[in-house]
Amino acid sequence: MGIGGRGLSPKRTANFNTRQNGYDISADALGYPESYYTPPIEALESIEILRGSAALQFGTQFGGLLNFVIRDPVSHSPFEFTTRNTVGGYGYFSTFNRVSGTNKRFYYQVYHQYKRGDGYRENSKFYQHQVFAEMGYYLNENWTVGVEFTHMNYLARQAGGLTDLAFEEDPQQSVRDRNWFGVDWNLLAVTSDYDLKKFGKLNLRSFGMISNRKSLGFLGKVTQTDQGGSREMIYSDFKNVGAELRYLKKYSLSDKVNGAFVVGGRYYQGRTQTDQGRASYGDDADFTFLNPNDLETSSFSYPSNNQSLFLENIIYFGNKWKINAGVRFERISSGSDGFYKRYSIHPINNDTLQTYVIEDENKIERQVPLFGFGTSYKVKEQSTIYTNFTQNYRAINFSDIRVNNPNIEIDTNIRDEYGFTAELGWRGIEKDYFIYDVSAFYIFYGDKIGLAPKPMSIKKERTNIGDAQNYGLEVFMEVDWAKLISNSKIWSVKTFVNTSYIDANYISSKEPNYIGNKVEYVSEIMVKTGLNVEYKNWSWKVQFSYNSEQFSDASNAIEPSGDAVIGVVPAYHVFDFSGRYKFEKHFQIEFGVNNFTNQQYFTRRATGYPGPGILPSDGINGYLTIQYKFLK
Amino acid sequence: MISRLINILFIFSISVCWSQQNVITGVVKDDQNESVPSVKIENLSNGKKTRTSVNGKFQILANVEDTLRFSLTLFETKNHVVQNTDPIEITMKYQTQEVGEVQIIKRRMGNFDVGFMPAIKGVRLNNGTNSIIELENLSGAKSLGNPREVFAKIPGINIWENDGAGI
Repeated sequence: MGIGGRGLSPKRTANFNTRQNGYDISADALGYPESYYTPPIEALESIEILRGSAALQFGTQFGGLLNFVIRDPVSHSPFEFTTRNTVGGYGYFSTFNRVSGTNKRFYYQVYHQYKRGDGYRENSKFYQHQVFAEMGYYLNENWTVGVEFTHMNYLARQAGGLTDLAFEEDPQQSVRDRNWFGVDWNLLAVTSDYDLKKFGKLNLRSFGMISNRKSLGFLGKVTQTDQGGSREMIYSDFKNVGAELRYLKKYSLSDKVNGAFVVGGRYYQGRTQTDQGRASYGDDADFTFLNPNDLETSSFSYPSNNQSLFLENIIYFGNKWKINAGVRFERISSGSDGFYKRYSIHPINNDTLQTYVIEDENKIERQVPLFGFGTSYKVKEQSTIYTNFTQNYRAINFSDIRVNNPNIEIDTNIRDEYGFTAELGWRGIEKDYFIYDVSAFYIFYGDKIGLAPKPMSIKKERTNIGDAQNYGLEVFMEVDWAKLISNSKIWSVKTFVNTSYIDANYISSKEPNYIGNKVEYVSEIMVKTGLNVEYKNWSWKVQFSYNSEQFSDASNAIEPSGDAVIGVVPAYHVFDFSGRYKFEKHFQIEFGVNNFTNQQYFTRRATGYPGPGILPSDGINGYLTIQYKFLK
Repeated sequence: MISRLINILFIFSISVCWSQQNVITGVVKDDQNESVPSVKIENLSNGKKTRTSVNGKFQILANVEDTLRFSLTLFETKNHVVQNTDPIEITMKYQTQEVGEVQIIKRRMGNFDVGFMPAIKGVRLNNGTNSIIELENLSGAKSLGNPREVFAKIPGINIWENDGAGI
């Protein structure tokens, strides 16, 4: 999944601190915050999103926190079984099966999801397994301990990118038939919740991960033909452990003045190993290097070590007014150690004249204090006006400092990104029939890392291109018309509107041409709106999504480059339809058609993997799900 | 000898007096005037314990001037001193209300599948812009994990759709 908020890049959801049940699931929280693993939506209870102000208690990222909360085991029965089976277009099939229960002090759940499909495009077959098992025990009334294990693996054939012309011609075609991507994810978490009653709450989460991702194929420009032979493979191996301890205490200073504070600490240690070199011939998913002991391209290991302490406090004056303030102190140590190879190539016959092995080792240590504060005022019972300011920070990612694509080079003086988020909002619910959430935000994004054409070269360079600012207005509203008019229990007719206006531009840049330019991959206007009708056990929803055009690089090139890596991403809109029928007992059916007007569009021009080039989005596709639930 | 006997009788009669307690009846309601079942009631003076029935009613042995303690998770514990033998009505306040902002999740969401997080939740403080998506009733391609539908009500989210089927 790739989502980004407030004009931040959606790449692998890396601008969010992504968690599951409160613990980290990304490859490396600081150095490689990309999420290759997303829990199945079918298994979730809710998704929590905290914007920039999450920096103090969670990750320091600009995007904030994205927390997937897995449905708890059923609490009033020793056994519940749920099965959800889905068929869809393009050979899609998935089965999700879950058992859970609680018996006296013991609770458990296990689920497995398998999905497979042929994909919308040629050469985009995939399958995926997801397994999750948890159990816990109430040691006594106040103390609960639990353990959770997550496994995911998937294998996907990658159709690669397209040129603009090829996309116009047929977005389903593919010119890469031996590119593969595989992921293997294993997480273990141990949690302890201690309710000290009057003395607060104590929570300890410790987690560990052993995972890898591997991409194999021909990564050259989309204009180049894959001539066969051996393929390029990038193999990354992730290992990390961490623990986070939190203590929350509510307190009362007087009748009118109450508050709560949370104090916590975090220890995190990770190691990423990334190897790149020539790999298997042929076109199958054979992830083996030809010369594992003498890699042709590079081999790096990236140790990361991070400790943080945080304290946040909120205080209420009466029932209406609240003030919050917090600090976080972060110690980050990250490094890289390895080698890469350079080849000097004969300009005419392409023979290798000379191979240079360049050893590279560096270690950066920094201490970062972050600070934030805010206030909110309750206009009435369910209506709050709030404002908040929080500093943010994004450590250089491993992928920022080492790239393995022949089209891209790295600036040797690349630095961490820093900045802050400020927001002002008004949100509330009016008598159960109207919900609204309006907010304005300003993000200062210093030393932003991006891609720019390298001077005196046809290559591109990854560098701190300059300072950027993202500001905008976000509005969400939904009205329940049936409730507003008649208080009907049989009917429900709801409409929602979700719009945002985001302007993100470069305010300073070492490349003077970029000043005033738009930040890449920001849609100035995004609209999502929908109509949801429910009648007795039926529910139908139609949704419309619109994104205005986006630039794909800091030079704001409109004309697409020949290799389709740079150029505008045109505006697009999509319609989705979905429905549901709930039987009185046991069964439920869900159905829908995504992109039912069959728009051909794309959201991204990939510079490297999994392109390079235009990555078309799926056209029209339908599905049907049958759910059966058995409760003992 | 006789005076000792009188003494014993006297002490015995006092203890009989003490044990002649009244059955106090009553009902426990919350601030919405709904009855609250399963509230733990303890007479701190004689150690008797009971719980309220499904409709919030209870009876317990108690003397006038005894202190009854009413407690239940999510509610503020309340002490009540028995004034007379009349039935009593106890109103219990939700504990979360001790810090104004926190309300029951349900009331923050209506039926909208999306809502805001309480300022204090578990061991976290939530400030600034935030949202919570409840997935139980949200319709859409859940198996395929279509982020366009899952995040439909979260403003300002841009999506890259290069990984099909939610992988």
